[in-house]
Amino acid sequence: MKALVIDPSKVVQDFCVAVCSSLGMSASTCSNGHQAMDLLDSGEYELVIVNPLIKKNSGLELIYEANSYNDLQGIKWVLLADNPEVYKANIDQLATLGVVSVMARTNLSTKNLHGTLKALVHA
Amino acid sequence: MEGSTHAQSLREQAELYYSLLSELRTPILELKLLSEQNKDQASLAVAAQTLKLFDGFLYLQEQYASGQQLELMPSSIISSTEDVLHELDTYAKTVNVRLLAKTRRSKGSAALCKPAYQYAVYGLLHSAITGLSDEGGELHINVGGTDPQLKVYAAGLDLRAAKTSTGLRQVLLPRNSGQDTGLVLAGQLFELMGSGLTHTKNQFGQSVGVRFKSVQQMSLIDSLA
Repeated sequence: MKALVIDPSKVVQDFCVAVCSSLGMSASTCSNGHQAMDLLDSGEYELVIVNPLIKKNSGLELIYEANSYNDLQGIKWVLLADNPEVYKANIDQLATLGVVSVMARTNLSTKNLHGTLKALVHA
Repeated sequence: MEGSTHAQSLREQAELYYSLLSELRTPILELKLLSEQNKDQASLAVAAQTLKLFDGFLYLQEQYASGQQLELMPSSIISSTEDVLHELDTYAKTVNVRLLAKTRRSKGSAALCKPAYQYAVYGLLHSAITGLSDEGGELHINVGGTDPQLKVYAAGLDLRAAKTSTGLRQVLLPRNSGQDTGLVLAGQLFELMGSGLTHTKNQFGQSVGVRFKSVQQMSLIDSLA
């Protein structure tokens, strides 16, 4: 499984890549919506970890846009949100777009991310 | 007219501080993640606790901004407190403080807003642990009872800031050490839940406590309303 990590912070990007690697997944990184769409266009990614508050199109706009293309509709999305409650309240609607998990960004840790990704890899 | 301009300026200032607090979480998160990667448990614990305090103040600000009353639900005060104690354990060990929790079973549930309660307990214990961190020591936490309550005390602990629970400005001054920050957060959140912090001083030292309505009391109040 190949993953894409989208977050403005390089430290957060590298941290997520390290956790992906520990699960045998390769991962690329970028920091905004335009770069993300360019990378997603390649059709290589099955999992995207995205901070909804990225620049140049928000994370949610990116998810809507990707879902408008048939070949990108199977992507699993993990939201890494500073305000997870807002997204968790709308999880049913987000699930129809492929969002499988909403994580609190400030609670990010190897244990939390590893647990979430492991469940997805084995799903 | 002048009053409304002043109110608007205060609102804008509050929004600015809210955004600032929110954005400052990223560099602290980065410190936390780097500490974890470098296996520096002490730095990791301090960064994680600081982030939690930021989250607590943002939560408080959101409650003020919404202007709505907190919704109190029947909850177990013991398990709600144990979750926080578990999270603070590493931080306490890092600064050589032992958390000694004693629980007394409650007959019913307490009327709590769980997120507000947990942020408040977090703030309260964070202040108490920080206050003891110079020399280390034991922090006693009593929780539960027929009238659900939480009490925190330790020998040699200064908890006077709990007495000025009404004014942030009275306690959060630029030259303060930051030890009282969590206590102020706790005072504000407990007040939003209708339960003020009580400060006691006697020959054994200082303690702070907070008592909540039991669910039975809540139903009685509802039926009389």
